[in-house]
Amino acid sequence: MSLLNSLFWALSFAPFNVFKGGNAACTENPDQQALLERASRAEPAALGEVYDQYADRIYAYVYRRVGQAEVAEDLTGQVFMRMLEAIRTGQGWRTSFSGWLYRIAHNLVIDYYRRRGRVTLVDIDEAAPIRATHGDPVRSTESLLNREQLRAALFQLTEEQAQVITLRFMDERSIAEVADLMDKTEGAIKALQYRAVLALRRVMQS
Amino acid sequence: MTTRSDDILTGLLAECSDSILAGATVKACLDRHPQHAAALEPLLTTLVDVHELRAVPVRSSATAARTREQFMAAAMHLAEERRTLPATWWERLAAWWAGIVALFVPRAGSRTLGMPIGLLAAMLVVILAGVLATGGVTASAKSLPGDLLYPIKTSSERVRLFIARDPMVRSGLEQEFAARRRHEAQAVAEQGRRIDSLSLDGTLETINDNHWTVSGLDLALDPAVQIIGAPVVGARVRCVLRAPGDGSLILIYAAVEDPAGNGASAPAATATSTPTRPAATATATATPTATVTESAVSAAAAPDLPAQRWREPEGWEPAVPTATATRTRVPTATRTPGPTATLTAPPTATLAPTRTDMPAPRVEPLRYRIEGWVESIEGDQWIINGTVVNVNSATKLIDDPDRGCKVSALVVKKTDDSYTALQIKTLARPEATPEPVEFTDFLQERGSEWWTIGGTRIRVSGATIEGDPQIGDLVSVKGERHQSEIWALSITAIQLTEVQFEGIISAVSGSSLVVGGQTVLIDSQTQIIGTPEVGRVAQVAAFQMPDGRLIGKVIMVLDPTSTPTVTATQPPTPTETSTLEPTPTLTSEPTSTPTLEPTPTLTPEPTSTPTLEPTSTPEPTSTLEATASPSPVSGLRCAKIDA
Repeated sequence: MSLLNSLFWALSFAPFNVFKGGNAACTENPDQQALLERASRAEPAALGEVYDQYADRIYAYVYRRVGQAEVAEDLTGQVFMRMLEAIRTGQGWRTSFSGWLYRIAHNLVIDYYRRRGRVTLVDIDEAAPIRATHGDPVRSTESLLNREQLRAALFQLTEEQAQVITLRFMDERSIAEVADLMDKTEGAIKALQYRAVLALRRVMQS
Repeated sequence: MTTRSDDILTGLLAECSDSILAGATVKACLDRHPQHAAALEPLLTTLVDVHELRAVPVRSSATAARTREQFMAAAMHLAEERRTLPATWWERLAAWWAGIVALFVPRAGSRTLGMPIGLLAAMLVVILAGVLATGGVTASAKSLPGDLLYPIKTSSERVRLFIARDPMVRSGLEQEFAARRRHEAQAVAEQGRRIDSLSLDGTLETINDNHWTVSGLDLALDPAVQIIGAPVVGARVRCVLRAPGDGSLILIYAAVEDPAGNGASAPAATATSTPTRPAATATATATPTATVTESAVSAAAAPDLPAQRWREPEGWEPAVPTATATRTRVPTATRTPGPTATLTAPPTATLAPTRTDMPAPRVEPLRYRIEGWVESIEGDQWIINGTVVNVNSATKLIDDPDRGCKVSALVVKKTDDSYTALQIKTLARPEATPEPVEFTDFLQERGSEWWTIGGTRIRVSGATIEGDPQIGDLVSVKGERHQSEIWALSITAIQLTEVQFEGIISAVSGSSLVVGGQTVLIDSQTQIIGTPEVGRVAQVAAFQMPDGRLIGKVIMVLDPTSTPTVTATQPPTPTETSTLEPTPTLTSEPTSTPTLEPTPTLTPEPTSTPTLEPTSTPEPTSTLEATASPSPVSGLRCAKIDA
């Protein structure tokens, strides 16, 4: 009977791309789930609310990877347009919405870098404030160059490694949160984090 | 494979990273684990370096508000689509289905099904049938040309392009959408659909007699295919295809970008020679067709000439030995046997320049076709569309070509750059001066012989095409009316300046909008996102015609809740809109949530998600209010961008 029950559920949800997947844990709280359900039905108010919840975070995530405000703004807009497109075509999120959204952002950033082909240094005027250099302009410039190199190095990691580094050390998310976003266990994230830092170290040295 | 040491460091890094993110120093962490300090130190330093990257400059509130407004406009548009498109039927089915499921499936905590097993089995059969039936629904998400939903797909692409400002982001999107077009073309062919016009951008991978491969797609060449530029393997090529429905794809038009990436190499002859047709009116400038080489010619061989595919004229008998005697270029070993092989039989010692870095393109004797009107005949020299062509005793004259006739001449180019005709065939006799036709409109469809421009079918054979117009481009047509047909003499793509601006809609009519005091014309190509109403803010991307008129490309009507202060700050437009002043309508409504109005469409859905109904009631959200902060949308913000 339990088999029939499972089959019944699987069949009933299969064609509708309901974000609560069969065995996937739905990580959002009930209010959030309700909001996302309304958003998935293209309810403008819900979409606006979702946008407001995530826009700044996605912007920050993208900015930290690309280092240019204008590009980050553009890509942020594209992330949410893709969200609408996914809703339109019924190919939206199935498990964690935020993880799904970050994945879109991540993929757009990767695409952007691939297209750019090479690293171009960001205009000093546009760069974010630099910490810990205490007004020394030479050090500031060096630091800026290092930051750009570091950003470029991130793109030589695997997708998951880059994602875990960004979420963990730039977005300052806890291991539990990253695990949630990436749909992995905390143990897996710890291991991934270790491999990612190791790989980044190697890339920077080379 | 992880070692014990890796396992230890994994744990330590997790612990130390937590403390460093909480404010601890690297040294403090190393002091806690002195036995692993050497291994940990470089990892933690790297971590700290990355941590330094977290600073994000303050996001421009104006830019952020604009991005949000665009999103909300697109969201409203999506909601509107949901209301009006047939996609809703499956949603209703989904709702019905979910209702059925709710009836028979136990709620959380229940361990049994409240339904006899026989009935449940019957229901499963019904549901299974439903799954199969709605398989097509998910397929609609991947709509193809010819599908009802296909325009929605392409319109969403246009919106994404509309909002992309960064050139790199924009070009990325263009590439992404080009890839979609390739997949669509493939799917159209595989499904045996019949589509008259498909676009395809890709890389020319192989060139054979009657087939090209472009980005993995095998394209059969239409006998009347138009090829602009010199096709060489590896070049980027923009194609228009036809799918006849038999699984094949037919290439009817291709614009090959030159290897330097300077866009389609415009046919030099077409661009420069525009002789006036004898007996034509002042406005009707008869122009030669692009000169056409017999086949693919390497760019190195003839950089100054268009290399278009030669269509063998009827009755053609190649037998002019003088032509090859002077040739300096000969076929390479890759030459595929063709009907003109006899022409190129005697090779000389001069070898064609061949590329070594890519498969050698077909290099063939340079023969050209000049199609147009015979302007004069003086002795052995004919002027055909401004080109002097030498005629000798070997020239084959078919159907008595004479001055004033429209002819197709097959010529060879000699080393002194003169042309000798191998054959001249009459295509049309002189006739009474036809009525000149001249107009400007959008190109809607392009075939090999006929194009549709502004709803009118235009014969383009023999016309000069300038500027490589694509579907959707504005073109200027000069031509003649021949009984019920219009024959183009020249078609020129009009390069328009694209302007973008934002302002308040002060007037709405079926054919135009007044936005920020500027009249924007609407035509069938204009994409309007949202519902234009007087008083609402719209962002406009428009083409500026040479005469200053604006033709809307994309008009995005912003969500009124995103910019509620607009009506307060915007002075009434001092024109005809005094009675249409937006303020009364907006301020008379509750200021918080006019955007929630569309949600009643959700209520027809039955029992599926009863929680939706209560949540759809208007409720002001703090986030909306936050973004409603003073919007600088006061009147017109106009930015001119490159077309």
